[in-house]
Amino acid sequence: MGSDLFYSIIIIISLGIFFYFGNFRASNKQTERPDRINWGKSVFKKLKKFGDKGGRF
Amino acid sequence: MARHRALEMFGRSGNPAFKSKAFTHHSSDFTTNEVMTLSGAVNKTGLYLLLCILSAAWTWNIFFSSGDPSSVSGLMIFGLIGGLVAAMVTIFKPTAANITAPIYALLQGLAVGGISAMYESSFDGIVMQAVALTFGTLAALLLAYKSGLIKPTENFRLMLFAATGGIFVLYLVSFIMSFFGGPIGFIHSNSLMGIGFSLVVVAIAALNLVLDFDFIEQAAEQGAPKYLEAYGAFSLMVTLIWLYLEILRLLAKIYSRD
Repeated sequence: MGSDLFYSIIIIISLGIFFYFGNFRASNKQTERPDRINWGKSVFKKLKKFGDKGGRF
Repeated sequence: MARHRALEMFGRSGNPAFKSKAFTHHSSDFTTNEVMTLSGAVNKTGLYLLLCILSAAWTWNIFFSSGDPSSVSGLMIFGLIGGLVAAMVTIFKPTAANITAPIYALLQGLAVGGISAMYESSFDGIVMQAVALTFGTLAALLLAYKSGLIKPTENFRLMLFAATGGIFVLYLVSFIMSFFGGPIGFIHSNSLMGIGFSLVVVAIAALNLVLDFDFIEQAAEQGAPKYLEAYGAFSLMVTLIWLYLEILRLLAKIYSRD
């Protein structure tokens, strides 16, 4: 019973964090990076490029 | 114009469920000029979570009121197959995500509720722990992402994609082998190797959440079409359900050693 209460509190706090902070934009440290993922590029093309380079990044 | 730019920008997600060519297609049935927002994606995730929990509660109640696993097996199979079909439709026709994503959540809930009830009947209190760990991971990784502590890069996406694909292939091979004698032993065993394997899978599933956050963040930032809110929420749901089931398996392996 006690552990159920403990886990319930974790669930409520976690969901609270998700619904509160989820609405905010990420920090500049995250959004103003030159090495951000380009979601327009297919991951398959990246894998092909990776293979062409002999498995080196 | 903005719509085309956004669609060119957001071709694919790293989520294993998102390997659709449809994502790069220019939609012809997108008719509004509304753009995606972060709060829209978060609210839709909340709605889909609620739908999933409601349908899961239904199968859960059926299981515990009858006490017979066969009473929910039909619903579970219907939920699994129906959820797979709904997921495929969402992946190949993202413009329909507003309709197909809630259907996916409802159907997956049927399967998740039945699976959870079966685990709970064997290990008392396991479901509450798995749910708390899943949401705890979600919150912790969201904070790490928003603060810039975790920085997803192209190499991060590539490695995660390869690892996720490897797990998928391993599960598939194990499933096929189960028809010819027995599945790959360590995947399902409660040995240290089996627990270690589950830990790795949980870590990979959790890191997929970071990719989902990054996809949603960038889509909202670039003013992507409104339907990508539902699509982003769907991606989070796919990862969350996978993470939850893997945590459930991991806990079950640990408890069964006692």
